[in-house]
Amino acid sequence: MNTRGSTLPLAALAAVTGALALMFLYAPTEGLQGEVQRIFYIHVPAAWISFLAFFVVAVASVLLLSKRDLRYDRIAAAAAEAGLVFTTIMMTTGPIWGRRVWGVWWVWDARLTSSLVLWLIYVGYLLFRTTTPPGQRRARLSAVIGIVGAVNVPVVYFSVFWWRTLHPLPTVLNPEGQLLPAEMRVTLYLSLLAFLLVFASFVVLRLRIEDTRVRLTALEEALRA
Amino acid sequence: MRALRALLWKDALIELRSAERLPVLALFSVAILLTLHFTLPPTSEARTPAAPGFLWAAIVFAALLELRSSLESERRDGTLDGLRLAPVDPTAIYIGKVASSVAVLAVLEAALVPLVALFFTGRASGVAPAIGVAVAGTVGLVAWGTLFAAVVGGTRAGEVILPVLLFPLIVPQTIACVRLLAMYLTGAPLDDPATAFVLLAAFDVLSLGTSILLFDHVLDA
Amino acid sequence: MTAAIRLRAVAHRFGGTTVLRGVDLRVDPGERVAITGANGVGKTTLLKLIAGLLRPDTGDVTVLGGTLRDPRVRARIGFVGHQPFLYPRLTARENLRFWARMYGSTDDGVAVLRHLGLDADDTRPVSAFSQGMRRRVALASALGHDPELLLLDEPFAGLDDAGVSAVAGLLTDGGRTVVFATHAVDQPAPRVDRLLTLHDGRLER
Repeated sequence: MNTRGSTLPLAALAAVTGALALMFLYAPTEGLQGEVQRIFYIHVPAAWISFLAFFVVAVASVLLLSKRDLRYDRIAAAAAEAGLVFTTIMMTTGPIWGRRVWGVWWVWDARLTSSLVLWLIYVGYLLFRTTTPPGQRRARLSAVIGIVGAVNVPVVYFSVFWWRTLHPLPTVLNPEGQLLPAEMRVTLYLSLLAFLLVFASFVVLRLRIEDTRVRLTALEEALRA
Repeated sequence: MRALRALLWKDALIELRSAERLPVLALFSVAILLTLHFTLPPTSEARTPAAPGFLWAAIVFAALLELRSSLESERRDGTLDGLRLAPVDPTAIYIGKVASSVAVLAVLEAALVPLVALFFTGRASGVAPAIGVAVAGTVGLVAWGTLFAAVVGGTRAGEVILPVLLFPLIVPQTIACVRLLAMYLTGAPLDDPATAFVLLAAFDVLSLGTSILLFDHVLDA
Repeated sequence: MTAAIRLRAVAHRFGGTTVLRGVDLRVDPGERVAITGANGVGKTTLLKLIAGLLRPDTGDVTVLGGTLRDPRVRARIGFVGHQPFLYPRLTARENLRFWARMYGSTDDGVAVLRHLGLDADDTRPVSAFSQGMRRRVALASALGHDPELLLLDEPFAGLDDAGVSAVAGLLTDGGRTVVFATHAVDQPAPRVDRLLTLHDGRLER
């Protein structure tokens, strides 16, 4: 097996193992919610990475439009694919947790709504890419979608927030608002690190696959000429 | 800009000549409203409060149709390439398209809003400002919509992807518009109309501004 | 002397096939160049690349000393494509007027239209015209702003002998640089300075 460049995935694996261990063995059981609260260590980092991933997509898109280097397009696409995975994790762990803790699968508050919007934008972005032939044009148009998407998520958040102020929600338990005990914080941060490393591994691997494909196409071209 | 005036003149002339976009949109909107009407039980109390939402839904779907047909005819007739070749700022082309689509939809809304008032709320007051709100909201819809209609292109897949891309984006517009429409059409109390107006205006500015910045890249080869 | 057109190592794929491989081309101002080749070989793609409607995958295209991203360069180019840039619901005159305004030209090309045998006061929409008539309207429109460089895709298609000579006459006077694609080599073509053939992605004499 080619072990070159496998440091990142190995580090990710180590971090995930560590985080799982902490999550189940080290972190204390939360008083009010019980065991189900442990989803928090998956849900919250997944949410952060979802937004981070889209930030990467947005930055890569801007760079693509200004520099026209297709490498940025590949980075944006890789980040989007990985980001969709994490957003989906966030969108599935959230309702599961919510159902257990608050009794509802879903509320249309600012945070959840803008998360749903983010998920839809990811899907739209990737759907567009799969139905468009690859090349400069697809790269540029994807970049436009990425930038608009990024600009819109905060706007959606704010507008739903305002909408909700018209009809205030019953106060919902906000797990992040309270000060976390040290053990929980440590577990959360390790979990976040694990997610970050997994995300980075996905992106790097995806980029490598894409780069290989580009080189392969170039070789085919040269052969045919 | 002379090019912009030429573009507006051209679209106005074509629309007056053929008068095909508007009737189709009108029929489509009425069909949507009809369907929505029957989603409620016959003596429903919900009919009036739901009216602004139904109206906006009809407008959004009509706008979708209008956006597709506007750009598609240019593509189909080959004139889009002509526009790209002309020594004209892509911004002028963008504004021309937005203005002509908003104009068509504004005419539609001038008829649709009173119709909704007549058949859903039974109130005549507030119709005029409601039309204004509807048109203001449409500007934001069309601003993003024109950009994305150009992005997805004329493919079959594009027809499906346009709503997928557009609908998440117009959530803020929908929120602000429908609250204001409710205030005018049904007298629903709104604590903070000022913020709603600001949201509406800000969204229009944001969508127009960002689209203008990005449109060059979309029109490019 | 700055070349009117300069293509350097232009390669382009279109729809999964390589249409152009490493094309080099230099056209001097005032030259008249015809490009022939089988149907579907890529002549239209080549013209579109020169006109800036397409951007090459690799290589660069310089036209009139600049690039097509510059509107001042675009203003000096006339392009008549396979599908004419005409709005089907507008009359010939309205179409001409529109494009004249887009190019900032006071001459809408009505004189050329008449020269090509069409009635400028025809009130019918252009959709009622035959393909050959539409091509002629498009040509008149392109010439309206007096371009230095004229690019034409199959300018003689759908024309009778009289039409062909009228068009040929227009192409040869004026000292313009003219590049056109044609697949009908047997048709009475105007005198050209160079005849190139696009074959297997390359331009050959």
